[in-house]
Amino acid sequence: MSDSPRTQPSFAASAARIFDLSLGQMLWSRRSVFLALLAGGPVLLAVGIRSLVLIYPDALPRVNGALVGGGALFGMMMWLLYIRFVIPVLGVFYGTALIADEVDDKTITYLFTRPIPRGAVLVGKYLAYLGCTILLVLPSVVLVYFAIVPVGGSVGESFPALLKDLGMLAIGLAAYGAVFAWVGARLKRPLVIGLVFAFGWEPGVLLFPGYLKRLTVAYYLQALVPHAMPDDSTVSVLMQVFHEVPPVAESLAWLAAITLVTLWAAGRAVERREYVLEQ
Amino acid sequence: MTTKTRYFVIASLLVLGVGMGSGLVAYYSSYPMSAFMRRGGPDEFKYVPADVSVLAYADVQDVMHSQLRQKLHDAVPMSENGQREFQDETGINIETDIEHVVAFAEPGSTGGPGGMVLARGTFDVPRIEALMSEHGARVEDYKGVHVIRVGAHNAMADLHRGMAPSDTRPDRVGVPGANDFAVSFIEPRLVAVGNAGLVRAAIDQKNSPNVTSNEEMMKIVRSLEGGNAWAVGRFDAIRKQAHLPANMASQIPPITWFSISSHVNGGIRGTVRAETRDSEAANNLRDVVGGFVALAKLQAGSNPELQGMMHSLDVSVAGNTVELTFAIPAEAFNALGALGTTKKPAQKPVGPVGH
Amino acid sequence: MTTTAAAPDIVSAEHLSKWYGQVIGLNDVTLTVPSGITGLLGPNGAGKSTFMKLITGQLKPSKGGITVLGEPIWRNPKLYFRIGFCPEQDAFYDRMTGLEWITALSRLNGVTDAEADAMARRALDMVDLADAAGKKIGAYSKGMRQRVKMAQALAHDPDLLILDEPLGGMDPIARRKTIRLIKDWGRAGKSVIVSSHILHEIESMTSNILLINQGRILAEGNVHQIRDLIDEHPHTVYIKAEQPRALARQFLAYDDVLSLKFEDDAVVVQTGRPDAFYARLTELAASGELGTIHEVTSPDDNLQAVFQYLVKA
Repeated sequence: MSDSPRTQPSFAASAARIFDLSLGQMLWSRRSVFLALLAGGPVLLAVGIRSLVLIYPDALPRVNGALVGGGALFGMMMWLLYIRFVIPVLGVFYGTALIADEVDDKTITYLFTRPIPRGAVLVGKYLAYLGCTILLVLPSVVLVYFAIVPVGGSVGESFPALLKDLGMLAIGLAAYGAVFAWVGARLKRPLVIGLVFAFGWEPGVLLFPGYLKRLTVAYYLQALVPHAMPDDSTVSVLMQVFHEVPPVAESLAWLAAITLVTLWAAGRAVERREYVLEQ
Repeated sequence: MTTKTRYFVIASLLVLGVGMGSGLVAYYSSYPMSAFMRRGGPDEFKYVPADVSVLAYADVQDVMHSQLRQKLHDAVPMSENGQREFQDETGINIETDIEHVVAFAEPGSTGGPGGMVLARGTFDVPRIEALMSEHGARVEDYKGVHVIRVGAHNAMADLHRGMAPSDTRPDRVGVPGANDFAVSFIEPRLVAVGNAGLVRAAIDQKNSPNVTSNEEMMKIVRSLEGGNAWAVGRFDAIRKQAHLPANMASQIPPITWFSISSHVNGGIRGTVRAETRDSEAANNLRDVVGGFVALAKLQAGSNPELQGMMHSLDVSVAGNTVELTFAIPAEAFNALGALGTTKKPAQKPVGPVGH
Repeated sequence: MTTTAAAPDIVSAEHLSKWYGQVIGLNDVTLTVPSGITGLLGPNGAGKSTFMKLITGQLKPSKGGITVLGEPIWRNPKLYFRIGFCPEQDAFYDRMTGLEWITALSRLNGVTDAEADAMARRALDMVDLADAAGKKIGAYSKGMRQRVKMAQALAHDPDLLILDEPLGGMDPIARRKTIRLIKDWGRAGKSVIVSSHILHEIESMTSNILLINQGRILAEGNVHQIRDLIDEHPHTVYIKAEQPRALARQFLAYDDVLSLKFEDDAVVVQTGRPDAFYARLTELAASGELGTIHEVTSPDDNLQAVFQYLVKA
């Protein structure tokens, strides 16, 4: 036996090492193109709008007859692209795949036959997901901000809103990621269930009054958005009609609780579940 | 972590860092005086005419989140029904939805609302329009922007009846129904509320000179450092509007400009400034104000909270400017609250009467 | 290293069963595996992988119990300090280099980055991959991939090495070196459990064999009889090489070669004496006279026939 220490690394140290191992795997995986599209698409769109406005100054849309300024346009992009699409999609596709990808690739064996708790594997991979998505989405938002806001708006004046946006998106990624990590660890066909939750249940429930909307992440996340909800479609108008905004502190507390509880449940599920790899 | 991943992380953090740095520089260079106001004033100044007599600003979010507000809220638990009802009707949560407010009054405004309030925040436009329509308001289209008119007059009716407009100021002659009250969402997240003529003028403002070209007023606005609520006014214009009897008007000190700036947080800290015609008038004013301050200190009696507030009052004069500074601690509001409650007649408890 | 005079049992199973829904993977197995090198022999689907997964704590027994190195293995991660596992599946983080991958896995043992790097380099050196340490795993040949998989199992210098079909796909020289490595490991007082469906591979490492088929242990110990049975059945060898036709011409001169056929860039040989054939094949590969031999595998058809005979017996 070698002289190497045989003291089991702490849970946090184990998770940190899995994070280090997994970050690159997530960034340069088969989903890289998809990830690049999600993060780069809005930037390209923003650059396109900026170029269009430079050529045709009247090209900006009008709301209630008034030209929509850069700040308002940025707010619309935040709602329509990031909050309603990019964040849930990243949560579903990456959250449900935290362990499933390793199982499909049959590489989970290498991680589960090491002297670290399986829960630390999940937490490390979750942190890698969070790091990977935050490192992609937040710069994307910053680029969109600097491309769009100067069009009839003030970069300085809207800056506090940008900070709130970045914080809100990071919290959203954390909450959705944890929920779908649990779905992925606990259920079969997690991707289908995740998609139904993110694009069926959440928007559906938010359309109606009542307490069911409290069983969504979006309900709490939308309370942190510093921009007015756009009324771009009938669904959006309906959402606005039944739009309830819980207090920010309450929303933060709920999102933290959702993240921690689902992550703990996911870790527990991974600890107890057997993974039978197909030969 | 592989080298490629490390490069990616560095590049990503670089974009974030440069973005945050640029944003911060833009933020602070746009708000040199304090965190709430840009060099040329808030963006809403572009809707404020150059010749306003009073201009005011309040950072509603800052005030709502102040410790004082929390203390008052805790000390005097107010019924939230009214606020809730207002929110249910309009969709506006006063605590969270309104960011800041700019208000102004124009010289010569007579009858009806003579000014306008511009509020920046989050509004449910269709809901508010529908609500106002239910209450008899009319939604008109003015240069492609909806203007919700409230009042006896409305533009179309005026035109149809061929009536002379009620506003007789030279620049408002020919503007039908200019004195009516109107509401218009002139920008996304910006509502203008006030005199219909002023609201229309705000929609027209694009190329007209605005208050930022009024150097005299902007100089005073820029001097109001650190306040989250302030007001600046031309005292002579207000005096003219008041139509005071000559003998009373002659007793009023010859003040040209005044300003009030306050910072609300744990308590209220503020400054009231008045610019007089000359230094002699300034000294006279200082003596008058000083007398009132001395009287107030006497009246404060033995109440330690009020005494603390009174001792913070300080009057000074520099050239033709008289300045009164004050600091009202949160405890003073408790004392004021207590004074208020002791003056109320005691209510009999309601309950069954025993035999 | 944990060395004890009494040579305790490495693995102990009591009425161990594992089923996947309606399918039985392992059926009421009671056994003890002594220290040293033990071969687990059985055709594909016999239950070898299920047994391997149970003794590496990847699966939980449906019934019965199992201890490894004296402790239950299921949900006991601390035990992995003492166990190194080389799985059968050809699965890797292909975008990493061999050194990066083994260093990253070694770090999970709680060692520092520098120690993990040293452990990885030593392990790669042991499997003759030091020169390819900086190369991406995706660019490795089948044999190199097998060896890097071995390296990750032995990097942390475990007491028990569990190897699931470790020689599959290796070229003859790598195969010989790996066998030597496993034997050295056993001589150093460590324990090895190695599974295979090729008897002579197991025989070249140890005489202590566990015979498994249809989820049951058929025989354990020094099974010479099996050897005789194997010899009665022709043994098929698949050889992927640079010059398969030249190799075939050479094989025609061997009296133990019963038949030959070509498949793409490979030659498939049936031999009556596998030991002699493999020995000559290794010499051929080492001389390099007939080009490079990339891969040598053996389908388990011949072993299946032996097991059918045993079950009937």
